[in-house]
Amino acid sequence: MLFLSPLFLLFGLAAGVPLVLHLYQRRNRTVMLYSTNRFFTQSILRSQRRLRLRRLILLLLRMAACLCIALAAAQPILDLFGLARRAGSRDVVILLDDSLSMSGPGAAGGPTGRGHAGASKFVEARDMALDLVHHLVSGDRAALITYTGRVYGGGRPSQPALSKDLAGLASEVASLTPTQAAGDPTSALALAARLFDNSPQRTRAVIVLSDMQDSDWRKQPLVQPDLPVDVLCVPVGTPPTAACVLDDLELGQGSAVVGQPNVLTVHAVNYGPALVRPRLTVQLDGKEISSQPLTVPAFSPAVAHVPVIFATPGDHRIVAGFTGHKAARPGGDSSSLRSGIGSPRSEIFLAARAIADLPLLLVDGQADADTANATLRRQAPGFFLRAALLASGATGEQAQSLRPDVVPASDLARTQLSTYRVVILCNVRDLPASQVERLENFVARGGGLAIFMGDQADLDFYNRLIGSAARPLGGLMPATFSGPVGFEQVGPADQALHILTVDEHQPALQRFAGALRSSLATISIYRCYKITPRATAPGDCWVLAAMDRGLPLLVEHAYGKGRVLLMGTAPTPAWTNLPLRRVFIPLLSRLTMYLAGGGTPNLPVEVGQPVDLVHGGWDTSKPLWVTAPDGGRLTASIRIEGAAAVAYLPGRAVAQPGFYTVQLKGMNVRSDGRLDGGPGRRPGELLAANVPPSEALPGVVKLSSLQALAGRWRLHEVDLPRRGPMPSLTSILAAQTSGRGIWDTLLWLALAAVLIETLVANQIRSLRRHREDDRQWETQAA
Amino acid sequence: MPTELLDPKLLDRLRGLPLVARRVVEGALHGLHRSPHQGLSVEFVQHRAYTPGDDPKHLDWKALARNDRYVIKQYEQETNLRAFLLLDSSRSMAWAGPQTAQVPNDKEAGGESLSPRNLTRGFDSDAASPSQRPLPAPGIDGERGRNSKYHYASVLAAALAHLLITQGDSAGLFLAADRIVRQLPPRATPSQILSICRALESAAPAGGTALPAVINTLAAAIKRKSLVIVLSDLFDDPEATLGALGRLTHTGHDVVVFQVLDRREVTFDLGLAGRGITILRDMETNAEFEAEPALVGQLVRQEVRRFLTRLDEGCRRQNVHLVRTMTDVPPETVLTRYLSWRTR
Repeated sequence: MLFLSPLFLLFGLAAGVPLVLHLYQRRNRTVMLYSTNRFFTQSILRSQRRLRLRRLILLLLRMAACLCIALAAAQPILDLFGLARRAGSRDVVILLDDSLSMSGPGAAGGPTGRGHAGASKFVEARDMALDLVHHLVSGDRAALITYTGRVYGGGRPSQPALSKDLAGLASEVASLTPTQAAGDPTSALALAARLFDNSPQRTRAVIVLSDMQDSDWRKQPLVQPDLPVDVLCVPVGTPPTAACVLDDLELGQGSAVVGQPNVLTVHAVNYGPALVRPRLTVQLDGKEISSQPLTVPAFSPAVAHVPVIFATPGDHRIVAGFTGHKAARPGGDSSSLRSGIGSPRSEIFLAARAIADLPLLLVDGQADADTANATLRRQAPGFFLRAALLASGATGEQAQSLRPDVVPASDLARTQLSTYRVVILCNVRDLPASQVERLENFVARGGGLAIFMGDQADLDFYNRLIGSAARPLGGLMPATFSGPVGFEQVGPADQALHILTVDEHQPALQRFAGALRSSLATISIYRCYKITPRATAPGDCWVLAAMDRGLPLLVEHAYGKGRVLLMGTAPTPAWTNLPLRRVFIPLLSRLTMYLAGGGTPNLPVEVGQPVDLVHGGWDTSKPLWVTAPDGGRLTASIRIEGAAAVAYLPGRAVAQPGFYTVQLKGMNVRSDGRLDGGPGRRPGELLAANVPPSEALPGVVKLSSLQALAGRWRLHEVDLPRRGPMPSLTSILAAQTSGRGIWDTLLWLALAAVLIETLVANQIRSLRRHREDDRQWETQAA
Repeated sequence: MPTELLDPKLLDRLRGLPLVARRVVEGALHGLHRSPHQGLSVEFVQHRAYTPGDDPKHLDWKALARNDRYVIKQYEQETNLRAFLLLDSSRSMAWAGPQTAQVPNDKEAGGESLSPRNLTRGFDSDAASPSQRPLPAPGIDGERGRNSKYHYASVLAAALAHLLITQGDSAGLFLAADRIVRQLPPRATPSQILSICRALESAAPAGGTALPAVINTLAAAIKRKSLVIVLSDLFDDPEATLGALGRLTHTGHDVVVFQVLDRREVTFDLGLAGRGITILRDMETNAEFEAEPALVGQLVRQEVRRFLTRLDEGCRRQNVHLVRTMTDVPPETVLTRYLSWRTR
C-alpha cells in the first residue's frame, strides 16, 4: 500500500491517546477499603463485565476513528485499477497536453518547490509520460498523442496504432517539445479510443497529462467510443493564472487608406479579481505610436481606441501589448505582467494593409437631370455626397485618397465596377435588372454598397427588386420601406427627429462614441423613410443608428463578402441638416472606408491552426516560402480549389505567435520587413498569428462536468500529492481510482465509529443518571 | 466520669426516659419491670382456686366470707431488668467513609480479587489473617475513628448502659465479631458503667462477622428472660441473622436491634466520580472488587435496598425492634425518639 501523503500517518498516533488514557487509568486505579463487598452480587458482576466490554468497544471505536481519519488523510492507494496488474497485456495511450498553457511554470515554481527547479508543466508532464512508458513491460502496447494532434507510436501516420516498441516510444517522448498552439483534447481522446482493438484480454487506459485548462475541453463535446475506456486525467502543475490579457485587436475601418485617420480598437479582458491598470503600448511597424494606461475592472472587459494613420501603402505590422501593471488595491503589491507564458495574450499582433487611395463610384440619380439648374443641383443629395467625399479625401499635400467618380444611373452599365471598392447609390430612381445583378456580384465579392434615398427613389424598385428575397443571397437591401407612400413627411423643423441611439460597437461609428456622440445628437431629420430591418438570420442585419420612436436611420447588411448600408433619409438640407454639419464628412469617410474593407478582412490566424491562403496571383509552379517570426523558413504547399490557388500552411508550421510572411521564391525581403515582389509581381502576404484566445482563459475544467458529457467513458481524476516528494506516477495511477474509494470508505468508517462511540458513551452515561429515585429512597431510609 | 463515650448532653437528654421492658423479664431485685413471679407486692393481679399445699396466708378471707369459696390472692412482682448489650466489633464497623489504601501487590497483600466463589467465601472465612489485624480504636484514630460505625454504636451502648443502670437495672456487654471477644456480665452497680465504657474504648474492630453464631451463643447462655440489645451493621447473611434473632424472641427475650450504618453505604456515593476504575477491598475479607462506582452504583443501591427491606420485614415478623440509624444522625436523637416511642 502506498500513501500519497504519508506525513498524515503521524495523526494515527492520536489513536494511541485513548489507549494510553485507558492504560493510565488501569495503572493508577484507586484501591479503597470498603465495609463489605456482600452487595456486589453476581448480577452486578455481570453488569460490570458488560460495562467493561462497552468501555473496551468505546476504546476500540475511538482508536479506529483516529486511525481511519489518519489513513484517509494519508490517502492510501491500492493496486486495483489494473495498470499494475496484467503486465504484458496492457494498452496505454498517453495524451500529452502540449498546448501553450503547458509552458507555464510547473509545480517546481509553485509553493512546494518540488521537482526540477524551473521546469515547466510540459516538462513535468513529459517526465510523467516517460515514467509511464518505462513502467510498461514487454507485451504492453502504448502510444502518445499530443493535444495538437501529433501521434507517436506504431502504424502509418495516416493510420496510427499502438506500438510495442516501447524504447522507441520513450525516445520520441523524450524529444517532445511544447507548442504555442491551443489544445484539442476531445479530438485527441477520440483518436486514442480508436487505437484500441476489441480484444477482451487487454487492459485499456488513457492517461491524460494536462493542466486541464477549461477552454481546451469545451470546444466540442466528447465523442463516444465503441469501447468503454478508462480515462485517467492527471492535472499537471498549477492552473493557469488569472490575468489581464489582450483579447482582440482590430482596425476601426475595414480598409486602411493612406492618410485617412483610422482607429485601432484594443479589447482587453481582466480575469482577475482586482482592478488593474496596465500600460498599453501600440507599435506600428516597430515604432511606438501610443502608450497609455488602461483601466480594466475586475472580471470585466475594457476597450481602448488608438488613432492610427498609415503613411505608406502596403502591409503594416501592428503590435499591441501590456508593458506592466500595478494592482489597484491600496497597499497591494506591484507586480509586472508576466511576459510570454504567464499572460500569453499580453501581446497581440495585427497585419494591416493600407491602400493608397480608395476608388469610389457615386451613382447620382440626379446627375443627368436638369444639369443646367445649378441651384437645384446644389440641393441634390449627390452634390453633398460628392463634396463630402472630396473633402474627406483631401489630406494635405498627399494625393486624394478618396477618389469619387460620379456617374448618372444610366451610365452604370458602362462602368467597370471591379475598379471600385465602394459604390454609392444616391437618389437613384431604379436600375435595370442586369445592373442590379452586377451590383449583387460586386458586393458578394467584397465590395461595399451604400444606398442614400431621395425624392426620386422608387420604393417599389427597392423593395421588390433590390430587396427581393428571391434574389441571390437574399437581396441587397438591408431593410424594406413600409407604408403606401414609401416615405412619411415628418413635419416642420421644430418637430424634427433626432438620432438617439448609435451602435458604438460598430467599427465605423466607434469614433462617435463618448464626447463626440453629441455631434450626432444635434442632427435633425425632417424627412425620412420608415424602414423596417429585414428579418434575416441573426447577425446578418444591424441597425446602426435609430431615431425617436425607434425609427431606424442607418441599417447595415452583410451580403456575401461585402456589406450594404442603407440610410433612411437623403443627405440634403431639405431632408436633414446632416450635410450641413461638420460631422458629415468624417461620418461619410468612415462609412465609406468601412464598406471598402469587406473584401480584405483581417485573416484571423491562430498558432497551431492550419491556414489557407486564397490568392489569385500565386504561381503554382513555384514553391511558396513562409518566413516564421523567428526567421525560420518553411515551405507551404499550393493546391488548386476551383479557380483559385490555395496556399496551405499546416498547423504545426504556425507554431509561434508573430508575423508570418508568405512569398514566392525569388522575392526579396526589404530592410523594413516589407516584401518586395519586384516589378509586375504581387508582394507576398503578411499574416499575424496570435496565441489562441482559449489559451489565455484561466480556470480548470471540472471532471464532474466532463463526466456528464463522457457517456460510457469512465473518467477518473488523479490527485497528485500536493506536498512532499512526488511518488512515481505509475504507482499513483496504478491505484488512483480505487484510492478515492478507500479514502471515502475510511472517512465513512470514521464517521460511523464516532456515531457508535456516541451511542455507547451515552449508554454508559445514562447509568450515572439514576439519582433522583435514589435520593428519595435515601431520605425515607434515613 | 472519665470517658468520651458518655456525653453529658446526651445523658441529660435521656434523663427521665426509662427503658422499660416490653415483655416480662426475670430479675432478682425489685424494679420497674414486670416479673413472671407473683409474690409480695402491692399490685393485685387475680384470684385463683385454692389447691392443697398453698400457703393459707394467701387465702382471701373476705372472698371466702362472701362466696364461701377458697381462693388465693395473687400479686404481680416487679423486678429489675437484665440487659445484654451485644456490640458488633467486626472490622466492617470501623468503616468511616471512603478511604484509599496503598495499592499493594496482590501477592504481598495476600488479597484476592472478588469472584463469585470467594465473594461468598469471604464472609464465611474466619481465617483471613489480614482482617484479624485490629484497626485503631475509635477515639484514638482521630476524626475518622470518631466517625466510624463502631464509635457510634459504642456511644449508643454506653448511653443505654448508663440509662439501664441508673434506673436500677443491670447491664452487661458482649463484644463480638466472628465470636465473642469480650463479655461483661450484667451488673447493676454504678461501676458497671465505667467498666462497660472502658471495655468499649479499649476494644478495636477486628475480625470478620459471624453475628448469627454469636447471637445463638448468647441465646444459649442467657437463662433468664432479659433485654437483648444488638448494635451492629448487620452486614451478614440476613436470613441467618433473622433466625438467630427469632430464637432470642422465642425464648422470651426482649430484643432490640440498632442497625448502625454509614449513609454512604446506602447511597454508595463514595465521591469517586470521574476517577474511573476503583478497587473496593472488603475490610473483613480483603476480597477485592474492581469496579467503577459511578457505573455500578445504581445496581449496588438496589442490592442494599433489597437487603434492608429484607431485614425490616424479618424483624417485624420476629417482633424485634429494628432501629436503623446513620452515623450522621446524632445519637441522642436516635435514643430519645426510640425511648419515647417505646414508653408509649
